[in-house]
Amino acid sequence: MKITRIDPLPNVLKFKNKEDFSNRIVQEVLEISKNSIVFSAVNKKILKLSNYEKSLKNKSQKLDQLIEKSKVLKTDLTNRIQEVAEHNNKFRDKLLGILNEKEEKNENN
Amino acid sequence: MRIIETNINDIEKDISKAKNSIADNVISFIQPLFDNEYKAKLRELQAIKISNERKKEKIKQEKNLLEVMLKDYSKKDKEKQLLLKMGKLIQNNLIQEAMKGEMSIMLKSFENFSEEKIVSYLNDVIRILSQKFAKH
Repeated sequence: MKITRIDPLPNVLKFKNKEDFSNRIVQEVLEISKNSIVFSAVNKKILKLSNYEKSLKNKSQKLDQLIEKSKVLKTDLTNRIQEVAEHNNKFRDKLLGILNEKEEKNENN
Repeated sequence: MRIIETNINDIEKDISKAKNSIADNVISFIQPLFDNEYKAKLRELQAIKISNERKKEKIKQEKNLLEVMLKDYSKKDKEKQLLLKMGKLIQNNLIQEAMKGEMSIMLKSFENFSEEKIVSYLNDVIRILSQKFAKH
């Protein structure tokens, strides 16, 4: 432990918020480091990955939209198929009824 | 008056040496942070890639299912057209007595026919209808 200097009393206020002070220093160091040539290779790689991430996220969003669209289409198509099938069954029964009726009439005659 | 105590060493006499030493310390502290960021980003990208692959697979399945459903709808729509035309023949009494039995059998089983066969029947019925109406 060394005595580095003797400080006058009022300066103690500077250290009132040590956390803010150290945070500020860390931020400054990081900011400088980000622009520093020492880390430029890593930074470039991170930047490249970030751009790639953006494109992947875009792709993911488009895929989500496609899935949603296919769900809507599936529901719509299911309803249409059901509707046509019901119509066909009813109409077929009606036609069979008419044919049977005619056949019975012919037999009676 | 206050004495500030610290465990920071006194700087060396050679200031540039001291600066280099500080720089090395900062670099050794910062480097892992960037490496961690890089690795975290890589892991994140891998997760997005896997998720996208799963989504693609799901879309492929949905596409196949929709194709099957579309075929089914198309067949049912042709059946509908055939039924409507046959209805026109029956309701207008335009079919021969001998054909009625055959038509009943067809009506009961046409769902089992292929779409091509239904289209072929549909064309036949349309031809018969136009002939009958041409005579009338």
